[in-house]
Amino acid sequence: MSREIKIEHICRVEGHGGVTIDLEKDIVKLEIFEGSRFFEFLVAGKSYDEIPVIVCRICAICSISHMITSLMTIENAFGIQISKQTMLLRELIHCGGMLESHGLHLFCLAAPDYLGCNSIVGVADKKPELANIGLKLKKLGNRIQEIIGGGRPIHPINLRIGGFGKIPEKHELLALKNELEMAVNDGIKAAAFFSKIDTFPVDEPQYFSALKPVGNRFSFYGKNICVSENSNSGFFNENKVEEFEIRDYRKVCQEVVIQHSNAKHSLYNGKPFMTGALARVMMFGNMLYGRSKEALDMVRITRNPLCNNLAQAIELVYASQRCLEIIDELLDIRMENETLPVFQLGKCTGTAALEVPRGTLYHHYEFDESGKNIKTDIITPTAINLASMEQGVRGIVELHRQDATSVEVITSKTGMLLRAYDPCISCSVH
Amino acid sequence: MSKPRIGIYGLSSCAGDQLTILNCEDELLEIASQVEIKSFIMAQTGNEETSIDIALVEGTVSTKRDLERLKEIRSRTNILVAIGTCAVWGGMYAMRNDIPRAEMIRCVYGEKGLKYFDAASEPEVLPAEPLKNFVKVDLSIPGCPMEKKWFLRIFKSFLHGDVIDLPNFSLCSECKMVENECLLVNRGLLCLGPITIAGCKARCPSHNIPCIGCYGPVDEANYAAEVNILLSSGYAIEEIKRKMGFFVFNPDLKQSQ
Repeated sequence: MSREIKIEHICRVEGHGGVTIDLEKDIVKLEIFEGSRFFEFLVAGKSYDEIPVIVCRICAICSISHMITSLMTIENAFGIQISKQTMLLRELIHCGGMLESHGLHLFCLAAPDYLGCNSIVGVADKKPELANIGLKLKKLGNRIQEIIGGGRPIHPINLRIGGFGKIPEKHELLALKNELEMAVNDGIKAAAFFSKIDTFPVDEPQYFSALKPVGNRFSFYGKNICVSENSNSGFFNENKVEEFEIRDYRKVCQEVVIQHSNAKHSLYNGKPFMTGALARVMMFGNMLYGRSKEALDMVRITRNPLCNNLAQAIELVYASQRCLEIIDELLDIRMENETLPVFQLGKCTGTAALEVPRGTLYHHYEFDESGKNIKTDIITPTAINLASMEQGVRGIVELHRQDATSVEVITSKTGMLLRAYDPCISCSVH
Repeated sequence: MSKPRIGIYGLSSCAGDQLTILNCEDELLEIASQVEIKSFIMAQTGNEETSIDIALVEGTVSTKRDLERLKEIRSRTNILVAIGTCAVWGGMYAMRNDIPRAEMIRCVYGEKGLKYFDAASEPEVLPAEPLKNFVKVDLSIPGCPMEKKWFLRIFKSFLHGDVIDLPNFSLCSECKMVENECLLVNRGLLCLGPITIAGCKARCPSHNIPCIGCYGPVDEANYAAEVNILLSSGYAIEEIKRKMGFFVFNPDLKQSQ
């Protein structure tokens, strides 16, 4: 019997990585061989306003996430205030990005695992309604991104420092409302499907991390970083939570260079931790409201990383519902083209963080007197999750190493676990 | 007649061109029924790396592994299509190919990282280069990302054996057709429209945003004229070079100084 298990290439995930397991020597390696594009180096020496269009190209699925976080970082550095209209339009396109990303992951990448097929084509064969819901949600997310982002869903062009190139037409937003209402219901159906799938026991990450929503409602925007230690209490438990300011993100993400991975790992207190939809819902799910709260109340969700699928389904409901609220608010405040804010350049530093599809994304830039970038640091959610993913695989190996069918079982469970994290490998290396 | 066998591949990239294919939500299932998708690692399991009719390849060659993969794909496909500006031109990742990789590794991964990369027997990290520098490319679809419309049109042309027709004129032609005010001449902005290949219907200028050249250069681009306009608008040559360098437009700028 072979004592080595090799997954040459993890499929149905974004980017390039594999797994090597040596049962005898007790080695588990999540190998990330995606080539580095050295983004932190590419932006060095560039003018502040050139950074967003470069860094959004770290990843296509997450281009809107990088774009917004980059703008927030620059605005934080130069002390630029943005209008209510800009804030709302940005949140709207961000929610569109969430719908597309979660839609792609849940229905095209994850669902085949639970229906015994290879791709969305198989899902359409076995559960036509599910495939239909998935493609519809994904398409809607893309349409929102097209309308706000300037006509294409990937690498949006219309977002500017302090505002927008051109604001969308009122009728374009109104036209989204019907579909968004359907999307809320479809999200609930997705949650029902993912709540019924069979999971298997997996080592739960010791820590979860997410941004704490600013107000008392669930949100992808937050002011402080929260790290919660594994407890049985379920939702947000004040006693077990450590809170950090965003500019102190390095206290949470202690990066280490790993020989077998072109992406660095992040550790908290020397331990792996998990970020993403599951962390958000487990820590701040009690702040969900309306239909997304109904969705949460309907299901049983645990800290098992496989439940990240279910948490994403709940966020589909939240994101759709939030889009509807934002559109109403935008129509209320009467949108108009605004002039972009004027600001002073000067030696400064900016840091921002945002909850994006796969977890918390951090950007940090330093500028000289003329607004040239002198230092950049980007930590992506998948880079944060890699250590926890590797630990999860180790747990699966421990559990099954003695089984007669261990190779098949370990291979299949490893694939399912890694996909549940919805890794974006291009982002993790960047 | 048997269905065409295709493979969809990504080298080092943002996956935006593969995602553009997955973003054809209305056409996706129909596409899958018209061809046999032998390999699409990003979207399916059970991939077969076998002989195929058409390979769609995204991304740049940035590692030794990328290069081996590209050559291996070329050896078993009839037609190789470069999808997206990275695959066609090298794209943004190639903007600092003038810098030794070791310096970039040290900047991003530190001394320890450099040691790990050095530990590999041959240099694993390569400058980011387009596919055509290594293998024969039969068709190029530029765009960052590739436009869905062009992908679908070309895909249909392949299925029907039609002639493939991509724009071969500059972005300015499209910009004039939608009657935008000229950002370069009238507003003095650093717009790369005149030297960039068309295909996006002048998306950025239509949003009051200058073109950054994400489709790559048009054939016989008149770099000198572009640079002279920009110099006369008061832009420093360093800034012009930097902006042209985003998507690796590489004219010899000395002649126009």
